[in-house]
Amino acid sequence: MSRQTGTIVAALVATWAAGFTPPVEGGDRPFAVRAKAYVDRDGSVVNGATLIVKDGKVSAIGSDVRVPAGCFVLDRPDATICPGFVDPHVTLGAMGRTGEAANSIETEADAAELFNRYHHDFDRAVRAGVTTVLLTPRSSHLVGGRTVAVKTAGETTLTRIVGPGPIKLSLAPAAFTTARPPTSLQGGLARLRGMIAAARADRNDEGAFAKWARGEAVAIVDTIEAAELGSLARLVADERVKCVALHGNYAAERLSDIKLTGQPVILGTYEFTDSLRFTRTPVILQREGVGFALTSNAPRYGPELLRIGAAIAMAQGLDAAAAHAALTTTPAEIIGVQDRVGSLEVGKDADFILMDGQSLDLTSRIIEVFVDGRRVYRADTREAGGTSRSPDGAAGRVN
Amino acid sequence: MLRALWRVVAIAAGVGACLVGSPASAQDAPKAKTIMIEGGTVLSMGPAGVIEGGTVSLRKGKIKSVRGAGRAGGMPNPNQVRIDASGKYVTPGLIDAWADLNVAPGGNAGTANASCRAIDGLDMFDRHDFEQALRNGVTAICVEPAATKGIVGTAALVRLADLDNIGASAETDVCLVVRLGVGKVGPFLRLKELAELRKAFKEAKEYREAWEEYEEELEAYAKDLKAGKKVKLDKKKEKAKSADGKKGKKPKGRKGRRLRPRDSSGESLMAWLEELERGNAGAAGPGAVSIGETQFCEDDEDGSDEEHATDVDDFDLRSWLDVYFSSGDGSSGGKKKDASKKADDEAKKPERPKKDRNKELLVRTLKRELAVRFEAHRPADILNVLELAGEFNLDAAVVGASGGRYVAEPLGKAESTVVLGGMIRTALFENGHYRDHDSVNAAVLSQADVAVVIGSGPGGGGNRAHYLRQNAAIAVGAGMDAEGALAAVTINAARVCGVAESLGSLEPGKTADVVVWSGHPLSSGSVVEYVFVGGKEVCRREP
Repeated sequence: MSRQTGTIVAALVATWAAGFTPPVEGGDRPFAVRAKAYVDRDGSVVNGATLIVKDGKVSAIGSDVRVPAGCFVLDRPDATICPGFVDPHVTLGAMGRTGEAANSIETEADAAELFNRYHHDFDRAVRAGVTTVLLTPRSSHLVGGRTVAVKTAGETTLTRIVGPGPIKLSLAPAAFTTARPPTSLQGGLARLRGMIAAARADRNDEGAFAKWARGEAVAIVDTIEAAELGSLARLVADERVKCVALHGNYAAERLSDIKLTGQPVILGTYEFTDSLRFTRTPVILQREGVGFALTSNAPRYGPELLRIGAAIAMAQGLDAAAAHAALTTTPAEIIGVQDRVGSLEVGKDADFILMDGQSLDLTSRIIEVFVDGRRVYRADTREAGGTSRSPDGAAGRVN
Repeated sequence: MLRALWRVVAIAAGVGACLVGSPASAQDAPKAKTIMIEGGTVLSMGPAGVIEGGTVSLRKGKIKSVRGAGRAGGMPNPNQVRIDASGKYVTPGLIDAWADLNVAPGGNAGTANASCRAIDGLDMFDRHDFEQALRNGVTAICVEPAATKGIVGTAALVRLADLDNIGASAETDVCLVVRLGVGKVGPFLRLKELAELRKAFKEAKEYREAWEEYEEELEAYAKDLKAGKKVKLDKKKEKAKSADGKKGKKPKGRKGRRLRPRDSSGESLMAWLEELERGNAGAAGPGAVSIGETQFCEDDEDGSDEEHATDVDDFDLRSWLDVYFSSGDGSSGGKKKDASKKADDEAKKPERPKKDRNKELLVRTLKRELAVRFEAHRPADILNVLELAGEFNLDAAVVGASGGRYVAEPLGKAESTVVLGGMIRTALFENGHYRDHDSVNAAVLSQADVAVVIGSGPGGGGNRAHYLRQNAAIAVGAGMDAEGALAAVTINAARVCGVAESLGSLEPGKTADVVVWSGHPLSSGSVVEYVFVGGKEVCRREP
């Protein structure tokens, strides 16, 4: 009884903390959002937007969509609808707890066990427009275990879990300490190759590591220093496994290695102290036809850095469409949840942001955030000292 | 004077480096071409406002004109370099009013380091950070001494005119930097810091009063001398001479050249002073000239009265009097006794207060000759700063102000200037003083009529100056208007650094620090097309 009450209270607190207001009248009824524009799958901005949401999914989107009679309509004439951002590497709500210190190899560990949906880290991510994240084990493990893709807001733990993500490996220096084997990069790679051979020999192993070893799934691999990209490229070439380099800040300087992996790269975190040497990487990768996603590594850094990171790359000449892909479709594909999130298309989850300007301009403000068709955040207009920048005056009305 | 000489040398060296550094400018130098930036949207940040399709012309390092005319057309003029900026934006060079790039960390924590200078801690040879800033449209950066507590020294404004010789174009001693409650400082220690600050300014005030009193007394003394009163100095000197033949002549602790009349009668001294005031002494000079019966000479180490010429233009009467009247000053105790016994027919020699370099700087702030910037973050600390600034009538600005939005009203009423640091604090665990940080500060403060300046701010373990405009953009995203945010990195930044006469806006006569952007400078997709510093192109978009 008391436990149940506690849960309910916690849920109420959580929803309040997220700035939750009951979405549009009755969350399960279909509703429409009419806005100035929306950002399409390819990152282009389409003027005139009507989005119809039904059962938490996108039921229709376009500039010439008719709103059915009786459908509740949110009019946001100044807003741009943008798909919710996807962050492929976070430890939200589990900072410092995403690793088993005693072992370097934890093939069966599952980041889903760490998912603490009540944690305030998720609220901050929502406010930054991030709606789907991949909880990942830390870089201190050669094999960190399985990742999990979760929504940053939602009703229950189960509905918030989108699905298991790739297995997480690390070739970063942090993975090799003298405290436990393997203690070196080459020792780690030797272990990894042995494990791959063993997994291939056992056809019945359906574990995440075995699937990766057989080339059926990708792994996300920490490669912080330039040299590790070379090791990764060799592993991929020898074993024909699929690897996505994480923190591939040297990707532009190790282009041949990155191209050898045949996978996109996860870049970042970009912040204001970063040298132009690194923040130019996206521009070079785009020119070379290598895909890339950005990460904020929240909460080590603020989740706001996802959008700011895109702006930082754009200041070096990256075009808006490529920057948009790095925050939405590319990370969704890396995680393997592209059927559900990353773009606003019929049948996909209704995870979207309403902004009062261009989605990647830092001058734009995130006004409202929706996850699975429910409004989970609305900007507090009082915060800005009473500016009327929010389209709050335009209340919803029934057609 | 020595410093002035060094400055001349430094400037000369700077010019040399320019010529060596870029042969093109050496070629152009004799002709002094006019650069015409034509057809762009000019965000002048000055009286000219926003001009669509405007022309900004630069000549001899200055802005020649800012006008609405489009391309003039006609024959190409060989004396003009024309830049087509149609579809682009033209702004003054951005000024980062608060940065700590390339300044050596550490320094003494305390309240008496006013004479520390940021310019001395600046690594001028680390071109990388300066280049990054330039490539993102930042043309001037204000750096502070790195110490974190109390009166930490003076800030410098580094203009990125010539990366080979940053020092030549730096404005030193832009303002005094004071920090209150920076770091993880508990309430009692913060109050102690405040008390120490108040004490320092109070002592500076007393110091100033003591010197003013001294100067008054000195005038009175000179008057007495003029009136023919007997100078006590004579007595003392004779005493000293008779007492000690070897050392009596040389006062302790003072070195260098000293001028004094050979006959020390007040009459001849004042006669010479009057001559000097009338400008007649210019021909004669005090070095080796006799006026009336007075012979001027120098006291040299060996005590021989050799004659030396001294530059009359450099002659400072007050310091001369200063030196002269202190020359016989052996013991202050005895002098006090003299003063108490002073007879009506005696001229009283005033006691010269001790010089203190730190206090001298604080006195300049009390006279409002030197601005003060207080870094304070917690609302209570900010209010204390306002009170302190009011108490001592300081030309003060608040820097940091993480919790500024809670005290926006008093800040506005005091017509304050607030310099905000980086809009996004990215670290997981913040220092105590950044706990209240929120990017909404800029909007709230500007709505309360506070002059808002946005800097890149310290922290994060690296240079942040090159992302200045992104910080301004974030402020807009949090509710500030775009014009205010742009002013916060241009004209307002120039004002708080005391250089608004020459920088911060596009106005005829100002220094030609100009940036051409591919789009609005606060828009993410815009990139820098050209940067001009002092009318010279220093950066161009990479193709």
